[in-house]
Amino acid sequence: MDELLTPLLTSLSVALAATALVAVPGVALGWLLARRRFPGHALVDGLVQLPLVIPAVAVGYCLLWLLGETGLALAPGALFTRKAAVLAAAVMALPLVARMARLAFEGVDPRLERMARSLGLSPSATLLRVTLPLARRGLAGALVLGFARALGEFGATVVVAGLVPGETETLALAIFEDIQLGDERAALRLVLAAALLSFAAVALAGRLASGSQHDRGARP
Amino acid sequence: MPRLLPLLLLLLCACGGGAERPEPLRVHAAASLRDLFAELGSEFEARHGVPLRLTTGGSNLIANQVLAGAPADVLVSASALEVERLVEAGLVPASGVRELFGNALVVVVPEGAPGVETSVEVLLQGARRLSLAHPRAVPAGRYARAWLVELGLWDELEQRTLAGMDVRAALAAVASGGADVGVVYRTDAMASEGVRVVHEVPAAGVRYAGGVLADSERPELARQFLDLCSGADAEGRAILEAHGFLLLGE
Repeated sequence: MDELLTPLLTSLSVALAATALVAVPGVALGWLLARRRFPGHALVDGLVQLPLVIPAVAVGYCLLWLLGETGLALAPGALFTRKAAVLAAAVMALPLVARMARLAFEGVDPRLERMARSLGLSPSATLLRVTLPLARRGLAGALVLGFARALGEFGATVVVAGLVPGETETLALAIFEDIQLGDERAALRLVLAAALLSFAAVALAGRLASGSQHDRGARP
Repeated sequence: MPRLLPLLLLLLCACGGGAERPEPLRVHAAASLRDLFAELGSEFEARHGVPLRLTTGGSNLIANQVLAGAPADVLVSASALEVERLVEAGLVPASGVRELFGNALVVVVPEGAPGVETSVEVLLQGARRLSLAHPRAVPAGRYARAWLVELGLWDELEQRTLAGMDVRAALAAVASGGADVGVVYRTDAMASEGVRVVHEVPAAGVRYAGGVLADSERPELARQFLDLCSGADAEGRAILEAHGFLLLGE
C-alpha cells in the first residue's frame, strides 16, 4: 500500500505547505486588487493571473531559471527537493487564491466599511473587525481552491522537483511515472485517489462559497 | 462565397505542392541519439533524398508510443529490451532486430563544482542528490543501476536518486546544479557544456538496437537507415565515432 500512501502523503503535505505559503500574500493581493486603485493596477492584475493561463511547464522553466545554475542560481540546492515542490505548487496556486479573495472582498458592501469608519473605527480596525469577518467564508473557499490547485499541480513541479519518491513525488508525478513504466493498474489506483481527494476539496470550497452567498442574502 | 473561391484554389494548390516533397522516414529514437541522428539524418537525406522525422524520448516511452499505435518506420532504442517488446507484440519481425553500436557510462558533476580528489565511490556516497534516467524504466537508468548494484552502493543511494524521464533530463538536472552528481552516457556528457566528467565506467555493456516496423511502407529504405547506423560504411563510422559512440566488433 506504500505505493499509494507515500505519494498521497507527499501530495497532502506539499499542498498544505503551498497553501500556507500563499495564504497571506494571496489574500493581501486580492484585497489590494478589490479595494485599491493604484498606478499599475492592471499590470499587477495581469501578472497575478499569468500562471493561471500560461502553460504550467513554462512556469517551471522560469522557476528553474531563477533557482538553477543555468540561470540566476538563487538556490540551486533547493531544486529537486521538497522545497522546490512546495514553491512550484505555491506559484501555481497564488493566482487562484488572489482571484477568489478579490471576489470575496468585492462581495463585502463598501457602505458597511464606510459606516464603521464614520462610527470611529480606524482603517485597520475596519479591515480586521468588519471586512475580514464578512469575507471570511469567501476567503476560506479561496484557500480551499488554492489547496486543490496545489494538489493537482504537475507541469511546473515535474520540471523543478522531479521524481524523488517520498520527497517530491506527488500523486500527479506518481501517476506520470506509472504511465512511463507502463504500469496502468498502479496508475489507475493513484488516479482514483487523486480524483477523490480533489473532489472533496472542490465540494468543500463549493459549500463555503454557497455559505458566503447565504451570509450576503441575510444582510439587512 | 465567389470572392473566396480564388483563395480556396490557392490553398488547394499550396497543399498539393507539398506532395512533391518526399515523405520523411519516421524514426522513433532513444533520447541519447538526438544529435547523432540529426547528423546521420542529413547524410541519409543526401544519399537517398528522404529526410528523417525524428521522435525522441526515453526508449521505454518511444516503444510505448509505437505499441499504442504511433506511426513509425524504424525504432532505435538504447537496449534490446524495447525492440523485443515490439517483437512480442508482433509489430517488428524477429528477423528485423539488429544490434547497432555501443556507448559508455560516465559520472558527471556540475561544471562549476570544486574538483575533489577522491574515489568515485566516495563521491557517490557523499552525493546529496544523484541524477539518473529512471532506474527501472529507461535503459540509461537501468545500466547505471546495474553498475551501482555491482559497486554495492545501490541500496544506500536509491533514496537520494532523482529519476529523469530520459537521459537528457538526467543530464540537465546536473547542469542546473539541482543534482550534484549524475550517471549518464558519455555521448550526452560530451554534448553538454554544463557538466564535467569525473569518472568513466568500464564496460557498462550499453548496446543500442534497432528494428524495422512490420507495417512500414518502405522497409527497404528503413533497412538502409539501419545499415548507416550500424557503421556499414566509412562515412557512417566517422559520424558515429565523432559523436563518441562505440562501433561493435572491435
